[in-house]
Amino acid sequence: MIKLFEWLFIFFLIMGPWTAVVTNFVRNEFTKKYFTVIFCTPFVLVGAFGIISLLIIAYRVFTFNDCIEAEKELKQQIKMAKADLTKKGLKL
Amino acid sequence: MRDFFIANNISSCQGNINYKTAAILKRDKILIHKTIMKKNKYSILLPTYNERENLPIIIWLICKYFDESGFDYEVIVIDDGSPDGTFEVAKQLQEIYGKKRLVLCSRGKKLGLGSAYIFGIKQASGNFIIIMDADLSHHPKFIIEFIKKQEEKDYDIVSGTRYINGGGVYGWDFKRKLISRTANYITQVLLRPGASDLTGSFRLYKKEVLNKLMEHCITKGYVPISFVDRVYGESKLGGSEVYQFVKGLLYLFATT
Repeated sequence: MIKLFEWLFIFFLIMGPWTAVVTNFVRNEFTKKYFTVIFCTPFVLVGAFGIISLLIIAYRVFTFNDCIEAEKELKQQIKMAKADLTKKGLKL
Repeated sequence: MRDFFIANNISSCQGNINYKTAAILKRDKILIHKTIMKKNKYSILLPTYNERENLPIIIWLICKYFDESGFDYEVIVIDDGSPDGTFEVAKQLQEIYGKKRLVLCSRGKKLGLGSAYIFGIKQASGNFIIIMDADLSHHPKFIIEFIKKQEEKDYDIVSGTRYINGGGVYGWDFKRKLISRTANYITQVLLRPGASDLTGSFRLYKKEVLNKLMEHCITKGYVPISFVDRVYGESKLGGSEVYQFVKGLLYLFATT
């Protein structure tokens, strides 16, 4: 199954019953009692997903490893390379 | 072959049978050793566009690390007709390092990275392909680590990743880190590809795997790499790259 259909499948799995309840297509004791909870569920899910995503991204941005040593090493090697290549006859 | 003859000469000069046996054993050992060493060859693809300052250094570094390690290799430079004279520099380098080590391809005009890789694979004589940026943000020292990682479990692909322990970046401001992390996160969520560094392009492939990219690939090894932002020249990340990324992402989302 392609990813798009996976997402659509989950979407309809949740939104189908939800629409039925919200539009009063399905009505029973349970839906009456928990109408507000059911009504809010998709919004809460989307909101929670968004917030968790933002937290994950923020955490990863702030813990992105800075390789200061790698830069020093490279700078030094650039010098070595230039010196060696000039010696071998490269015109830079 | 030279060692073979030397070994033969030793054996014909010596009358002593023990010497002869020793020489033959030595000869066989050399031959076996050579066969093992010859088995794998690594072709490094370097697509370039305006990299005249970076190219000599990256090639010097590649040769340095490979010569130290003893692996067989070749570097394939695919230049897209850089107006800054990258190809002329490449020709000078070829005189230094030889045509066996340095293969040069010039494609009159800017045809893009993807087609450069396809073009490069066709020229490659190795059974492994390494792709990397020529702008020095990918350090050649990691290639040797890739090779060792590949040998560990005979991986199909070894990918450099900036996102796991030991990997990282240098010279990135907050904005760039944010873009990088966000792009990777969105891709991870939407496609769940099971790969660590998707937007990176520092990898080692088995040639036949890369040739049949669309087929299944099961085993993946990761080596943490440090990404030092380019010292020379300008980054090619612009609005159109972001657009291309989103387009590619949606395409994969709808087709895989």
